Amino acid sequence: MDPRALARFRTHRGAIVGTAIVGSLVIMAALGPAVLGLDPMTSDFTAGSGAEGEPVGPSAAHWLGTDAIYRDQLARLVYGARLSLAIGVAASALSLFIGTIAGMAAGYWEGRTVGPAPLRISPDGIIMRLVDIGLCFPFLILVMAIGAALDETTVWTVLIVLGSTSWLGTARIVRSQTMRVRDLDFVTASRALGARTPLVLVRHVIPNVAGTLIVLGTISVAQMILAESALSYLNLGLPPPTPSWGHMLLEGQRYFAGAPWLLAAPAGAIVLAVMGFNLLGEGLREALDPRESRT
Amino acid sequence: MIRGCRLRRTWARAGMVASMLLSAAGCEGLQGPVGERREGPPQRGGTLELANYGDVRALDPAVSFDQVAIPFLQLIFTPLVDYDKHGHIVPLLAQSLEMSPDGLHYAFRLREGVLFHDGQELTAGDVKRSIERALDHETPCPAPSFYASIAGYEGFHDGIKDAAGKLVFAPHLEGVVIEGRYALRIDLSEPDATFLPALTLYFLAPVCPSAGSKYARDWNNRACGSGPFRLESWSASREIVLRRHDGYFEPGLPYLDGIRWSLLVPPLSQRFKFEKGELDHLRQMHAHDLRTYRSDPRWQPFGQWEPAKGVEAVFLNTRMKPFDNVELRRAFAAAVDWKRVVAARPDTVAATQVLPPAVTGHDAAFAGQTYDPKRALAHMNRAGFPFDPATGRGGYPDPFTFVVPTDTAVAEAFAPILQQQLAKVGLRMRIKQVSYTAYLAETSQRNRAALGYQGWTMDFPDASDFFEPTLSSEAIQDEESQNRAFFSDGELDALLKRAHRELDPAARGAMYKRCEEIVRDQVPWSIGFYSRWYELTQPYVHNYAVDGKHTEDVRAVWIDAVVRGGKLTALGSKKGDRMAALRPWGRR
Amino acid sequence: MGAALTMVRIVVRLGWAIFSIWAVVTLAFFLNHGLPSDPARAVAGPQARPADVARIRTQFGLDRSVWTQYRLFAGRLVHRASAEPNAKAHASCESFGPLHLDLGTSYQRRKPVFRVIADRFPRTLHLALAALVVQLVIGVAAGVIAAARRRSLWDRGTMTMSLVGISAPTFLVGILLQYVIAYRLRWLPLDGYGTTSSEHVASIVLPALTLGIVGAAYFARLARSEMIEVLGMDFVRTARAKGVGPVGVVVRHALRNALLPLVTALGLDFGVLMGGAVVTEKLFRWPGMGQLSVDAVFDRDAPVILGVVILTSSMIILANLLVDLSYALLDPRTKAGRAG
Repeated sequence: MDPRALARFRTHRGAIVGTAIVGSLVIMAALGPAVLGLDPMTSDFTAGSGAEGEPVGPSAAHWLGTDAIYRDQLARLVYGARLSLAIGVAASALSLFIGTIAGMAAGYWEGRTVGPAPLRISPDGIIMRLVDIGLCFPFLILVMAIGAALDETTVWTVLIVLGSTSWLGTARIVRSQTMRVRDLDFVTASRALGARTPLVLVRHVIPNVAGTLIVLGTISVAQMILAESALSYLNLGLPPPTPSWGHMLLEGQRYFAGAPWLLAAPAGAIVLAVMGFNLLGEGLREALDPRESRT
Repeated sequence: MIRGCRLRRTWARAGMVASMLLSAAGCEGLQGPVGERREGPPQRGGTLELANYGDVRALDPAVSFDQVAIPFLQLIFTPLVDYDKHGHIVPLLAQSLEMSPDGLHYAFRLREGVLFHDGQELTAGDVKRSIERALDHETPCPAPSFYASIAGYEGFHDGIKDAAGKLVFAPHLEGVVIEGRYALRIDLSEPDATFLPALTLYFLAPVCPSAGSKYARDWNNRACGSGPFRLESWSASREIVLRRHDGYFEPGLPYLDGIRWSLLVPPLSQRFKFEKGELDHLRQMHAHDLRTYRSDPRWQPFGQWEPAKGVEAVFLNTRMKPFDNVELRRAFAAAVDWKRVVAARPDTVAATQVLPPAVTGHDAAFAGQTYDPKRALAHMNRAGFPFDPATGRGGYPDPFTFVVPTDTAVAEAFAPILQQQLAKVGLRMRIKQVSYTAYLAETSQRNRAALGYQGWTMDFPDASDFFEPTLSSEAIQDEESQNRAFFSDGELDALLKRAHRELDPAARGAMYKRCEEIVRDQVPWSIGFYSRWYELTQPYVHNYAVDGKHTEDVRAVWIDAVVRGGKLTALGSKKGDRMAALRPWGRR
Repeated sequence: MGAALTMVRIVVRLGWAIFSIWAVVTLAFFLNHGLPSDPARAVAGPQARPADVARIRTQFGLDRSVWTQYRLFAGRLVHRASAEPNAKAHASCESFGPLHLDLGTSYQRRKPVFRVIADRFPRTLHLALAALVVQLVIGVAAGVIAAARRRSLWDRGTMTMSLVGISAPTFLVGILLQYVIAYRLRWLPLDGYGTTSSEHVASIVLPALTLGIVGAAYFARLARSEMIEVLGMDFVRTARAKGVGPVGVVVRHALRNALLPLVTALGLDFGVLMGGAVVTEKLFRWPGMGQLSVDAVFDRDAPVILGVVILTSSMIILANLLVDLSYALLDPRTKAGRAG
């Protein structure tokens, strides 16, 4: 890793804060609620329920209070961290993967056609048209269709939905980078010497694109966390009793009159987590791809 | 300017805004009732202000059957018969009703001089025309089968295939016979104890001559009948205004000049308006608000619980694993403590039987399925899947899926608690949330859902309306089964068939009681809870009847104008002072 | 020669646009059909007896095969006005000159789909415009000032607030605004659309602010980084040397140059907003296209779903087309661009 990049990263204040936040998130997710001795799935009917059956606020037994059916909020929050992190990272990885492949294919074959004479097709054209169609497909129907095809909403369906609908931005960026790299002299030379396409792509394009991809990936995790919370808020995400943060927001909203803490905890968690990843992403951008070299 | 000063000014300003917001945030608290209650003779006049969270889609009684529209139909149209406040069926539009001893002929004598909203007189011919209009085969009526026992229904509604195989429909319903200008007779093809209860619904209620004899979509907006109120205006998705029908046949009624009903008003907004006195009645409110109102002594005299009109349960598919085993079903029923489950919501109460309190036949003393974890474990043993709670070993090996519609109390609050309780006896449940329409489809297909939510609200307050569509063998279908448990019990079927035709109320009651026992013991359902509405009215609203047979019945309401008029100035000035205190810059 | 080529390209692009719209709509039709549920049952209600639901299904033509239904749908979509314009068969058609557009009738609302969408479309438009105004005013102002006063408290504050803004889910901002302004302070209505014009205006404030604040956060950062670049350029130094005051530098010289990327972002944003910000509309019960799509999808109201899909895909594809064409025309590398 370029030592100058590391130095830039270390001195960027946002990067430090971002790393700290993401780091604590990872630790919290890894340890899980069991460490605190709490179970996010058990309703506590004695200490968790008020006089008229309403949830209790922050108290000795439940540090962040209990939710609508008397489950410990803190435990659910910590469990939700695990879910959000896992889904965020996995969906990002998927989206990055698809986007990179699509972008590289589109960029490399941009302006060129492939195939035997009567069947000449332009991969770039096809991919960009798919992007067009993909952009205007109603998101909701897609989500419900995928959920129905796989018979229920699980972590996997959410992953697939998020990952497969957000690779478009990555594809565009990778496409333009690929086009830039493709036209460099040494690449043209190596192709003239007989190097095959995949080799060219792997050895030349990917290293040049890597920095951008890392930054995109980090920011993408932030966006995935937001997208997952939006899905859960629309009740299209993970089913109960799984405590995803977005779902906790949905429940919290119903109680914001009588139990505002139900809303505050997941809200704070989401904002902090997303902020952390955004800061980290910006720090990485400054380190790997500083302003001076960007046009 | 020195940088420090500028900084301090910014923080100071920020601090001021924050503290003002916080102090404003502090003034949360329930407003008291507007005015006081004075008893006295009914006063004529005034406009009642009501609101609903839903939207009305159709006001044509032939096709309209959702919970939001019913209160409107109640006001605009009059059916031949209605329930009185003791739960007996009495003639309403009819002046008298005679039933033949064999139950096959119902003779109605109509009131004379009843006027429609457009001024025309209502005669027996209008009644027949309206009945045929609703039951016509081209009318998208959601429930014509309620009246399938009328003689000639099959030929008129279903049609009969002629020699060439084409469907031929009779031009008229031969079971409805006009015997005079104000006399009508309805003949049935078999005795039917559900006929009169079904007649209290609004499908067959007389509609103005302008509606014609065939259903037409655009008549929706010009709904016109013979009810106590006429439709004055309907702004789509905004509000419906009704005005007194001066030609209403009950002298002196209705007391109100009019009713304004706002649509698509969310519960929280309704509560705010109610507090300000802009709404006279509150029914749809959040759980938190319900708890607050119920516990506030100022509001207690003005709130009442409406008797529950529906039952909600968990169906266990008796034809699918694992619940084809009756012992497992019994274990399920004994493992669930519904009282605990429903304590999470203030508007639900644990149920003991299929029939909810509003329906004739509900027996408050009936002993239903009980929570008994020891007995549950014994049933698990007998089923062949013993479970040891200490070690957590045993129980039924495979998890089963509970299908539930999203955004319901069952999905959000109750299902996870059920899951916890079932785990204690070795039954592992997974929750699958689907959209409401998907839930309807999935749970009504054979071999699709082993376990799911089952709810049923009364169409009309009769026991047959609950048992027959949901628990009889006849209701079982491959694709569209409303008998979601696919439950088939010979004794139950026989009882239901007999009770359908039995005209003696006492005998009927005994039959349905036996049906309750069968359901309790065979457990096609784990009978869960009843949802009920808590209704609040302002003190100046009188005669608001909350029985189980009608919904939001404001037909005989009167407003104490003196009390209501006085509240506006008092409330306005108090509020104005408080608001002014919050905004000092407003005084500059 | 160049002009002819451009014309050919335009025609090809137009053809492709129409094909894309058709592809999306067809896909939506079959996807919608494959979802497990029954519109006839959705209309009749959960308690209607199966025989009655079957009757309604026949009345809606839903008992025919999916291919027949598709054929009927596609065939009726755009057709020539026939001799009897008010016949029952044309009850749901909208006429545009000699052509009829028939989007069918909504199962749930029993109104022509075109009317339903025509009612809702302007409301989404108003919300989108209001949100854009908020974004522009707050975002650009904050970003420009932050750039002009780098490393000051204002700059740091803007960057922090905008970071929080882009990190918060939109509906969370909405919930907070609802809680503080509508519930506690009761200054504005909680949600909905209101019945009078003044109520409409009052009701649009919170949802516009919700969408606008999040967008403003993005804009502030974008504006700030653009302005910083522009302010570092030669011509700005020249202007300062000539004695133009700081405000003049910012507004008259720098802003104009930073405008292009902002306008592009604005255009993209508008497209997104017009898609009907679903979550915000649900939260504020704003009766626009977003809420319409959610309701239609949950009700399985196929005519409405398809109508919305047609509308939104047409808008996006046509917008793409226009952007592409304008690039082609304005691109200085092409002859057309140089001429312009």
